[in-house]
Amino acid sequence: MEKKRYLSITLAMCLALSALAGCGGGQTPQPSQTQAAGNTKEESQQAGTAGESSNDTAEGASGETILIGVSGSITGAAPINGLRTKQGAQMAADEINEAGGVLGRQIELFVADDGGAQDTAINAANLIISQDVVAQVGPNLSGMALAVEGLLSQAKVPMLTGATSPKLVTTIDNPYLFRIRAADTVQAKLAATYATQNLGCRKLGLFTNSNDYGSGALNVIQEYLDGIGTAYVAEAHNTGDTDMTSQILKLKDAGVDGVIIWTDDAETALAARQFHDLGLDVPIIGSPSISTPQVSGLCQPQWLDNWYCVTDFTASNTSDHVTKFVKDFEAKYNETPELYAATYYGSIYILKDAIERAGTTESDALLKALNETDNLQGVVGKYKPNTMREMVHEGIICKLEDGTAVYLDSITVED
Amino acid sequence: MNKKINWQYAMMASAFLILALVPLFMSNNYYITILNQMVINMIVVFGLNFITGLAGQMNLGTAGIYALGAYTSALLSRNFGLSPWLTMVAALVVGFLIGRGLGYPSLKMKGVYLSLTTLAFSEIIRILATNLMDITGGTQGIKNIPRFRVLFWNLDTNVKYFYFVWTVAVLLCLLSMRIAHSKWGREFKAVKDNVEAIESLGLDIKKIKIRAFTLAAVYGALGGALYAHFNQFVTSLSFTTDLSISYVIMLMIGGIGNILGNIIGAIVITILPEMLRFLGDYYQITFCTMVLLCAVFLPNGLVSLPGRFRHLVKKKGKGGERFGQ
Repeated sequence: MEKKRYLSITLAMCLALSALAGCGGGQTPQPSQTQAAGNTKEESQQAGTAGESSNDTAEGASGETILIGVSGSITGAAPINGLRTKQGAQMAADEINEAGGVLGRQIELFVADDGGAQDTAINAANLIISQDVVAQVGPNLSGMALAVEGLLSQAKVPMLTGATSPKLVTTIDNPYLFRIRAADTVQAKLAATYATQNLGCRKLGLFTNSNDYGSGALNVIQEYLDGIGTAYVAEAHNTGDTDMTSQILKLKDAGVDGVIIWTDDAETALAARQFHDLGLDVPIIGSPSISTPQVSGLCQPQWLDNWYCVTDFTASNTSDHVTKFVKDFEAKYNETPELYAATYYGSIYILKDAIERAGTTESDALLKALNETDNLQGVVGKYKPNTMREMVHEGIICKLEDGTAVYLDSITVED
Repeated sequence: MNKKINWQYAMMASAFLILALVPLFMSNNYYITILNQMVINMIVVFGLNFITGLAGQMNLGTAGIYALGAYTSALLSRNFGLSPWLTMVAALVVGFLIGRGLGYPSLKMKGVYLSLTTLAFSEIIRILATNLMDITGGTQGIKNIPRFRVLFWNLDTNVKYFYFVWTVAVLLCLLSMRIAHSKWGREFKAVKDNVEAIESLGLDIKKIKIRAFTLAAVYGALGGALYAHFNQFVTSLSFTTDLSISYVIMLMIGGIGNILGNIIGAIVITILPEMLRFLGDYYQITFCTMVLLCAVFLPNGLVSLPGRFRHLVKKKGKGGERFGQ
């Protein structure tokens, strides 16, 4: 009897060990598969090499390729943003590879889904690091970027993120973290400046999300308006709120002659409808959310009459490099590119430029080269890091026409 | 019955032993992080098992309790420089108090109403954590939460931290088994099976339900504290309803009311999303389908598989005999 018991225990342990070993083997996802899901044929072929490559050098080279990690929210609350992130980065990699690669080597992407959640983002970052990448681009949400920046710093992997929270530079000093979009504070100040100076608003309504994104912008706008002596009325809502009637009516009753709205994607679209339905007919300046087709597409064009927005990118920008990017993106994916596609398209070119100047993919040399990036022209502006490694110092003002963000002006906000 | 229990003990011991050996073969930080998450999830599910598994009271407030444990420990250790050991005790106290508080609605509510009450509690905690930015850091969280020290040993690597949480999980597993097979455990099961019978025996249902809620909350808060010190970062984005549902899924997939089932559920539901990463866009639909199939075809969880298999073999054997006669 006793023998039987020990035998069963041993057997159970062996079974479990083999199962775990099986899990271990299956857990290193192949970039090719991650990448290829839902992509075009040639894109899948391009990405297809990634799965077979072995990453056995510290240089982040899989065989003769340069491996770059991409962390995007492929699943979760905003999967379109993750898809565009992946598409933008892949398009840049394809273009570079077709032109002969970098230092004679091809660029390969390892895409990991951060799920728009902290734990998944941490797992995605660890997975990317385990592949011996030269750098990681993304994640795009500030909360996720804050969760993983320490991991990447520890692993000496440069991180290029489109996350825009001021906390990424005010509360941490990570030499491996580079920001490739203008900060929320910059964008918010730009919105307030445009509302008062260009639209001539004398009493502004401030309608913000009560989360960090909204309240961070609110603080900057209030400080600016207090400084120039412009009156304002502030109203807030929570993430997930669907009825904003009381806040909008308070703004209407206060007699505001303009509104700055700073909130997340879903709430922006809901607010657009409710501002329209409640007849608050004043100029409204939105955050970058409303410039993206995935948000403006949720709105009827008439809801967005008299709407403006500040952003980093719009497909209607007539500059040569943006026009070319839009044309190429539409040809490749049959979709109009937006902020996330443009941001992460640019991120791969920043890395290409830095690797070429460094002459190697070695971490310290690459970091030095990234810090020395000097007015590299990208689709969201010129990249030049300041002392806090913020690379973009300009914003765009757009007007919403027929539900589409139409380029009005580019404004440099920092020298 | 004794055989069955012995088999389950052997499996539990094997599971913990294998988990302890994994870091020796896989030093990769990716795997070690998942192992840490797995063991922390296990601790929370051990707690949830008391209230939902044994006592049969559906609790969808686990994320809120977990969040309170995480924030209590994180804020006290980071802002006041207290030892994580002290802050973990504080998290346990918060868990105890919340458990007592949450236990009271359960006295008057049943089924879906209790689920909604606990769910509402969890959402209130999440919204507070999001909006009290000066305290909690909101969606962008609290950074630089210190790690534990054991005597002169700083748990500064994920491997060291894993062995620490592994030890805690083993101790809590033993405690859970002890409780499940004690008078308390029998009372919890009786509440689930036949409330009227308990009342007729003169037992205090109020006390029993509150005790179950308190145990679940203490385990949940402890899990939250361990999670905060592991990640060294806490954000309100983590404590959504999805998290509460994940814990219920772990309980259900493993086997409701069964401690070995809790271990299996925590392992499977933590590993599965990572194993399915290669599916890209199709991961979620695949994951949900697998969970649904498991719920339909294995209502008693994965822990019932060997029994089902034995039953099938017996059936086949009998059928064969008849055919041969």
